[in-house]
Amino acid sequence: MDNNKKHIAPIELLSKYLAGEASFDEKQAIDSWRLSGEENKKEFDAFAKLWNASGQVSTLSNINLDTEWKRLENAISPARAKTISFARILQVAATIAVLTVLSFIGYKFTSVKTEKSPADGLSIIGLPDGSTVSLNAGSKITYKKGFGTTHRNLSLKGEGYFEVAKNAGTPFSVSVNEATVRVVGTKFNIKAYKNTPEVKVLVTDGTVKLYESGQPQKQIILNAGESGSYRSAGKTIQKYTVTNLNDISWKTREIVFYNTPLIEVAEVLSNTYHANIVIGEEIKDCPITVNFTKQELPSVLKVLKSTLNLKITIEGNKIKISGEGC
Amino acid sequence: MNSNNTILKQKFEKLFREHFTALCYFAQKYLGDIDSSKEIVHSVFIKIWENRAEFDWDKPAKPYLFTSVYNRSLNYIRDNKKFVPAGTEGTSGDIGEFRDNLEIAELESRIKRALKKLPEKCREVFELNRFEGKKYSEIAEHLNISVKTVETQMSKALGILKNELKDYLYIFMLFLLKNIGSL
Repeated sequence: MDNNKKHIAPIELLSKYLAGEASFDEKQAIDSWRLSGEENKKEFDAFAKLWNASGQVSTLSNINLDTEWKRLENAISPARAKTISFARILQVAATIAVLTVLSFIGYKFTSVKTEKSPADGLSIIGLPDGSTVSLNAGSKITYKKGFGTTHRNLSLKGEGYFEVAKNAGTPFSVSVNEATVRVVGTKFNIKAYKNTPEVKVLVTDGTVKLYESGQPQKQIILNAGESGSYRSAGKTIQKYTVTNLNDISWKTREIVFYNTPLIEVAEVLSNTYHANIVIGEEIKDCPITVNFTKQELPSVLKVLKSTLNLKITIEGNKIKISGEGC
Repeated sequence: MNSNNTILKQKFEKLFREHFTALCYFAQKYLGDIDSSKEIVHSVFIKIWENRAEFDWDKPAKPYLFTSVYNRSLNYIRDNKKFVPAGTEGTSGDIGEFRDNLEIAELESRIKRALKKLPEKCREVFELNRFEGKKYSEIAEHLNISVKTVETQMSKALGILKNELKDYLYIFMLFLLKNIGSL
């Protein structure tokens, strides 16, 4: 009898038991099984342990090991080590010799480091202070020697999503065109492409300060969920409490359109997928309501096409969307 | 020298990938927030790399990793008094607590990893029950499936998780006993 009990594979009952969904009889069956013998008790305890721990993991952040490893690799990369061996200098010098004299001088005396993303894709960059930047296509950051130790200032061209490591002693600041964004530890997006008249900042976590460079007394404070803009034309700073999450869809791949005219849809999709999307004049005001989560461009286009009965043609690097109006 | 470094780097990466998540969850038990926890764990790995010549790469590194993260977490709390999350003020260096936190953090990191291996539907059902506290009948209604299917998916999930974690659920931290002295 005891032997039999040991061989029952009670997993169906066990999950019901642990979930508090078992009937009285089922509960009794499990109880008598787990109390008969050391082995059964051990087995039951293992399940119970698993069950309890599994309920707690929902509150834990997901950790992306690839990103974290990149960050660590960056922090330990020899170029940033405090002591540089003679052999290393020779090695660096040899590499640099093949580059132009100018870039050699640049490296040696000002030590400006530049990180770029390719024209058609993102890069995730680990900074020496442990922060990370996701750079949208065709964007770059530059910073001077000593970043992470003596200062945390960098400049950005294009668009970047920043996840700043906490370090109350050394504020993290980003210069974009004529604006400065200053933070302690937070997550935010900055958009400042060459051909746009404004610097747009969107905060997803923590607090940042935005001001015209050199004018920190005129700062505005942005909290999570808020966004702000700096327009160089009138040197004006403005705060918005409504955040458009499509502003960071290039990083999150979460896109929400609610009665959004196609002309704006094209703009969001172009930025998200690094594509050049052109909307025909006759349909540019047609509204659409749809959500996309982590989808690739072809499937997004397919949905648009069938929803609004559109025509999509590819000409060179342009994607043209046309239709008969709405 | 260089190829030696490459081999070390591979060992280092392996060590990192194996323990990083659990170490972060472990530090979080003391610090309360994940960002500072990550910082601390990173700093421990940086230290190992800086001392790679002296580091004993053949010895199990787990005890060293967890003790280092533990010590740095307590130092961090001491140096940043205002950041002490409620409930951790009394952290006294109690061995039992250390062991419990370590065990739970490791279990949590394995479960996080194992959950990703569940089939989509199965995970959905499991998470609705375990994360959102929904009853079987509520899940059935929510997903428009029968209670019987919920039962099946739940036991399937539990079975898969158990199998993924089987090497882990019965081991009771034997290695720690040897390291209590260093706390």
